[in-house]
Amino acid sequence: VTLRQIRGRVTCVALITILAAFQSHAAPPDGNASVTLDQLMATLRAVQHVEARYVERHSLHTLRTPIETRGTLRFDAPDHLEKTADPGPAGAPAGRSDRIIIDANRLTIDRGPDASPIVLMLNEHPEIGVLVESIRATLSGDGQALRRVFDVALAGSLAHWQMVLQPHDPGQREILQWMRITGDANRIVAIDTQQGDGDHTEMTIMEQAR
Amino acid sequence: VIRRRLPVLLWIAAIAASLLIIARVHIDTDMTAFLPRTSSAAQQVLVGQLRDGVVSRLVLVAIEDVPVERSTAISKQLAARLRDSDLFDSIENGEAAGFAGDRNFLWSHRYLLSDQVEASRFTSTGLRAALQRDLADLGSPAGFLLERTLAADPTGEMLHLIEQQLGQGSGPARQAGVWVSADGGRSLMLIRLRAAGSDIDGAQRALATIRADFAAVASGQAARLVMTGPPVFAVEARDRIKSDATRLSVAASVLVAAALLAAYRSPLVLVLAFVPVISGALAGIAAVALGFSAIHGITLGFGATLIGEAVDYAVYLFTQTAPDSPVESTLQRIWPTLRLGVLTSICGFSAMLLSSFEGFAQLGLFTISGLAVAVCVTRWVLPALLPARFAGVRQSRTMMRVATMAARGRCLRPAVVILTAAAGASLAFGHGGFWSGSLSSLSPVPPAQQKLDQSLRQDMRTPDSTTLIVIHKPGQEAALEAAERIAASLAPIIRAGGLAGLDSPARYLPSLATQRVRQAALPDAAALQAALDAAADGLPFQPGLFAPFIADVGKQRSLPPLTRADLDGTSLSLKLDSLLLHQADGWTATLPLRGVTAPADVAEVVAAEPGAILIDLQAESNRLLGVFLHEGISLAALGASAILLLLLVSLRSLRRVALICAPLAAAVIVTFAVLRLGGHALSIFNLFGVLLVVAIGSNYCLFFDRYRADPAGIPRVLASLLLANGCTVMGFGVLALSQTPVLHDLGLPVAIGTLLSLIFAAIIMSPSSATIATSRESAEPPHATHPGRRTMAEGA
Repeated sequence: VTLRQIRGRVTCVALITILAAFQSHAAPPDGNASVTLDQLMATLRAVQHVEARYVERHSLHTLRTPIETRGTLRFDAPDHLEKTADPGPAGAPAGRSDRIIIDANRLTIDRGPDASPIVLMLNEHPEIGVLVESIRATLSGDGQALRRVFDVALAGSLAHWQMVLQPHDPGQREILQWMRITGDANRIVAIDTQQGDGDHTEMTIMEQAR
Repeated sequence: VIRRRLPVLLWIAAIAASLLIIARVHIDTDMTAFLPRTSSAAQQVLVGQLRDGVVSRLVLVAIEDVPVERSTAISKQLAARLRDSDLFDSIENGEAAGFAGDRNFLWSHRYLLSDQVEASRFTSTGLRAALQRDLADLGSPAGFLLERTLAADPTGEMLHLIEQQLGQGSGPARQAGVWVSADGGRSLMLIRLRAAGSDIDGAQRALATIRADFAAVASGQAARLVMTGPPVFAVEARDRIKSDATRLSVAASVLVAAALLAAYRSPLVLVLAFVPVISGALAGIAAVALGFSAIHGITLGFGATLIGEAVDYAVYLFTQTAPDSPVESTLQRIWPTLRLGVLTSICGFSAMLLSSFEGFAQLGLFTISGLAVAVCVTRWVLPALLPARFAGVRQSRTMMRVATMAARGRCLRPAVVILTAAAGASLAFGHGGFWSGSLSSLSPVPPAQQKLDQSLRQDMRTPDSTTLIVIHKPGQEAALEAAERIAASLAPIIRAGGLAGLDSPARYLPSLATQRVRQAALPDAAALQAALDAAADGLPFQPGLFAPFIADVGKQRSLPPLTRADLDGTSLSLKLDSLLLHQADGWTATLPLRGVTAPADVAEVVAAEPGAILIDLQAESNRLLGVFLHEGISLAALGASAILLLLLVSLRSLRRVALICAPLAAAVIVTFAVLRLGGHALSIFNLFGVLLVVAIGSNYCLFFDRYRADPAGIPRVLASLLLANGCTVMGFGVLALSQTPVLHDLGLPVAIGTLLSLIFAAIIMSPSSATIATSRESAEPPHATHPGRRTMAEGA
């Protein structure tokens, strides 16, 4: 990661934050009134179960070209999260369906019937924990948890909102630079993630079923 | 005068000799003495591991009763303090330091350790497959795991090693970086002592250090420290035995002394009554010291029971001596009965001599020699020690009353039959297993401690494999190579689903040969670069991404092979030590198996390797239990038949022998039924206890048998038997209070059974009260209006 890249990223984040702040100030005060974090969290908290398809586009620093994967997301309040990839993504030799399951503090990586699952405790792996906590806390409408870990910048109306999360802790910012979550009311539409190592992931969430 | 003095001189000499022997005897508290001597090679390996293996040095520590944030903080401070001590080989509480050490070790030796390393993996074809898989993994939800290692490890050796060695999805939960139980109620530590398993003093020092450091760290807090594991058991068992042995002996002595004092109202008689007991105890200890290399603490604890049994002889002598008759005449009268009684007891106890439980054999020898000496001292030494004006016990009104009551008890004979039948039926149709089916019932570890151990092990998620392959070879390399061969032969069975998995010492320390083969499979930098370039062609990896991979392969290609010392400071050394054991006669590698569904296939693989055996611990322990039970039952039968034969030979009357056996049989059956109340399964120790009931109870029956022809003596005999039985019940009754399962399980049946034997013998064998009344020896006036008399007279 070169200094230029870092500067570029910082600029990008600053831009988004300013934009978000500007938007929230500029929002009209009627039915499209700017949303507060508490309102948004209350709305999201009401959702007990989510199942959705996703498309993810990874621009990885190790690869010259981006790769795209698809799969299914599943959330059960308050802290069960599952992400299952469709078999055989991105020119894989054999179809293999990978899955990660998060249950409170426990993260299980299930790599199909041929390999034994790997289990990690999130509190022992803060580098993964920060990635997971951003999404888990948002889905479960846990504003306190979000504020504890992140600087939260919220913009837009409840109907169309955008939230940018940035870890307080400089150490954690080396892992997750920022995450932008876009949503319509209680539905999350997209999650953009910028990691410290330069990897960028854009996830689009579709066909939500409840 | 010489004839009178000679026994006393001999006695003094014998006591002196015994004391000399005892002064040198080593007292042993190793609880494995009460595990049986084992015969098969598999069992010897197991016992060897129990005694000397790493497992025997592991202590599981839990800190509880405080919120988890406190207990984890205490765990960290305690671990830091203990790591400074030289009493411990390792202190593990899950702190990341250990984990990082393991990761570094695995990372810098991954091409020597990974069993996937072979030449084809580093050709362009092999690398192409690896890179394509990496590409797929990068996009997968678990891609973040790979990303950090991709550049240096595109073939995924590290992930493979972590999965194999650290992963398994098991291991305890963690909080604040420290191991905790799943519910967060305890934080956990695993401590390996430096002291060998057999060094109980060393273990005691180490445990005391843990306690003291804990007290210092947790002072002022409500936190509680609990510990379990073989060293804890050993130290606690020793303390318990020591305190049991002293406490029980003292308690039994005080109780018996009080009873004797109440009965004789003479301190002199009290002291004299203890002369045979003490002589017997000294002789017993000396005999065990000569017969075995050391005397076990439990055997000493059993001294308490000898008091209850050996004091009987003096009681018979004193109680059956009338004030106006000399002791010698009493001795001549009762000697044949006494002699036969001792012989039956010895017959009963001698079955224990043959037991494969070394502790039992010691108890048998101790009791036999103790009783023989006690009876001889009663016969030949006591008369010489008695003052010339010794006056026996006056026959009291109470004695008469008891005798009459016993005689009236004749009408209870049908009740005995009914009771025995009911007891027999309850045994035959009772629910629950008759014999305890678990080996843990024989364990010297108290049940509460066993439960704590189980619960902590569950918290630690220590996988307990019940099937093991054990390989014994003369050298370390031979053992590791054999482990590798077997693991390779088991691979097809794992793929076919006949075996879920296995662990092997060669995973943590491959044999030298294997390490060299793996190094030889790694290409040089130029060849690897060429293969990699060809493999990556057309794939989207950044150019130059894999430079760290080329560098690491080059480095590890020329590393000196790993040795045991390289693992020091990692938690892997602990695993290696528990799986690879150095013994006097060679090296033993242990391969724990998981999920065996095709045991025949596994057995076939094992059979092909000389020096390897397959052990199913569950089956083995069940088989072992069966052997003990079978042994216990045969020994009990042997002892009973020896007693029967002795009685037949001495009494030469089938009828008398049958009459003697009837109360005993009833007492045994009812005792079993009482022990089984509430569905408690019986232990082998209970069985031996019941054998003792026969050995002791037969004495009572013999006295009743002797005095059938001489009813005038009955009140005195009955009084002596009551007193003797009282002493026995007290002696064995205190054993029933012991925390040590062996002593408890022996004491309870004897206390119950001997009392029943006396009651049943009185009911079945007493002559009618009319006979007693007409042949009374005292001048006391008969109670003309005694309600029972007429009935009995009418009956007669």
